[in-house]
Amino acid sequence: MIIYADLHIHSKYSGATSEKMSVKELSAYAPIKGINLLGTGDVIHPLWLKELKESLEEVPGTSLYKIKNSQANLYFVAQTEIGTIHEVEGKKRRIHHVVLMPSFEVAEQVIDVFSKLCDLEADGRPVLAMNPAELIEMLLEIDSNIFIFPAHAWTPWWSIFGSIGGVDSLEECYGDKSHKIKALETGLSSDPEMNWRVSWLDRLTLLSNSDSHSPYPHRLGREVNVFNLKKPSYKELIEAIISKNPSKFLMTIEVDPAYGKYHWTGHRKCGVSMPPEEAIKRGNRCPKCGKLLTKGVEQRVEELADRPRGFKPPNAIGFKKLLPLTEIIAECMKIRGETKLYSGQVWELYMKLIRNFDNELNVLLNVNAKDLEMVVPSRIAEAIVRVREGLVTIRPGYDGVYGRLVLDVDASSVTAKERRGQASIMDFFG
Amino acid sequence: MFKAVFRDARLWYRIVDALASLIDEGTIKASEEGVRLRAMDPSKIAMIDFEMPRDAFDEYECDGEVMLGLNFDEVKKVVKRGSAKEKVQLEVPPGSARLKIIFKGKATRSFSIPLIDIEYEELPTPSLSFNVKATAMADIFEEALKDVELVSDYVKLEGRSNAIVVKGQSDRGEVETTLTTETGALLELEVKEEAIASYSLEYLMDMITANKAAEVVTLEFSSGMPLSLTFPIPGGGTIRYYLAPRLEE
Repeated sequence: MIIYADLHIHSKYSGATSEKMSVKELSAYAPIKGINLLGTGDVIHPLWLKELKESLEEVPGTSLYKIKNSQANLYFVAQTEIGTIHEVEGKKRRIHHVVLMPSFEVAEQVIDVFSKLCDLEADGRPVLAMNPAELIEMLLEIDSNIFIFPAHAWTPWWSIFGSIGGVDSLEECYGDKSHKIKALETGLSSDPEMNWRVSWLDRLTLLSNSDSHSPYPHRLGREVNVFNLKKPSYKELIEAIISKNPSKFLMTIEVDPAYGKYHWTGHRKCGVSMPPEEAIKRGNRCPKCGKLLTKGVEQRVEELADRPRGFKPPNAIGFKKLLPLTEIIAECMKIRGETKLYSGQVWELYMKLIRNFDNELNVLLNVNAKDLEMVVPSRIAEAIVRVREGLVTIRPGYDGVYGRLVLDVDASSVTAKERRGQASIMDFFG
Repeated sequence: MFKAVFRDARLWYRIVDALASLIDEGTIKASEEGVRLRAMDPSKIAMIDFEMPRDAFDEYECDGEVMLGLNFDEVKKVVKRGSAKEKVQLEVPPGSARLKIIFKGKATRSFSIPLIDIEYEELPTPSLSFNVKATAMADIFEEALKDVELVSDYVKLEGRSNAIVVKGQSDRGEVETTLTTETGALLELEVKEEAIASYSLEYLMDMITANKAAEVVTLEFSSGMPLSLTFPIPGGGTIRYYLAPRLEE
């Protein structure tokens, strides 16, 4: 059975998260996206766990959950994200970790232990003042089947290798428990190819998840892992991740890393962004205001990389790069601004595609241009295929600003015939 | 140093909205004569030529030439906050890399946004002579385009001796709107030679955004040649678009 798994999300109980992050909404949007295995998010938040237990029931013998009294083909796995703050060489390190658990009962045991350390009801994503090695030890003591991996590994503020809150090696983070770490979440702003440049990450399995704060399909499942499991279970899932067996773990689906909010180095307030080389040349200072730039993921990878660009380790799992379908539709329709992905016009075309071709991942990965053109304007069909084939450019994201799809870059060099019968205004300059 | 005060902040928003419909970023050149922006859209299919003479402003000061590199999405967000009861003041203090946008009404509200570095390119005027020239009520022309949108991605314009015909045709259906001076849809019509040409509806729908800033639009075209759409701004200034034609198969 092919499983499209998004193993890291949040509930409405985490800060800066949509009120709509409920089981009902998730179970409505996940199939539209094409996901059939979803992390529960925030499973050690007592109120959220209560809601999960009311809505979900275990599929016997699997340690996975499904919606009660429903035929929906959607599994859930108990999951949370935990933040730790510890000090290395006098500097505070802030790191997020994704935690998968084999059952809600185990989550309850974690709640029992951790509620003595912090107020778990305060936020769905608890932050603990402890060394990450201690966190691993405590969790594995509760249940050795708990699976932990660093979250969005390269983002500046809260990640293992982040330029602001991170460290330079797995050992600096997890100490003598580093060997217990078997996977790493690459995050939106980096893709596997970027991570392959760091040789000491080869032993880890690279995972891709959405870290979604909203149930809408431009956020949920924007990055997923594709597995081929005999009979989905927690055990088989974890084994597929650890083994890196390409017949079990087929690929990850990524957004283009430039789409991520921290790909390039930049300064949001001044609207300044730049690639690593330029940032280094400018001493990481904003050319407009002189303040320090927020170092992006590309630059941070460059600092830790010990291999050239383009290197692929022999045991690496493959990946595909896509973009959310609503982004593509909005750009084709030139609908811009912060609310573009919620536009009624965009949504109408989006749902037309879903009604015809089942789910978003199928549209993005498989449906051919001719069939797409039967449903949506040809420019949208063309753009979907171009994103699939990697023939688009992304204006890179920086300092919290998402990257932007640019469909018409270099169009000046495209002949009229290639533009499908559209002349250029330059043909008429005197 | 550049400073200009425009009488109606809402109308200024509509002008900016019309510019932002075609381009994301661009450089407005301010000189002693007034302000001007000439830019192509990223795919080089269309061009915008916006000018506003100094007399169209209530107050206007400009030392030499001042280049205002702007992200129009950002400018739009700010100027959207202005109302018709307010004046808007645009100002770049000497040596500053920021544009101040000040709304002056019962309260004085001041915004400041960064100017961006964009390479300024002096674009030539397309060398065109048009066989058809018609001035239409902008809202009626917009309705005709919206009708075509129901059936096609392209619009066919026909300039006849007594009418402009706006047509759309595809497997989905056919639609046709006739605009004449008799019915009042056209205010003027000059046809040197009858003409027929096709244009991208997607671009036209973006351009027609300018009808919020102008009541009438002048269409000029010839067979197989670009379309020029000119929107005169009340009180002085124009927004003019050029759109390259679809090539016949």
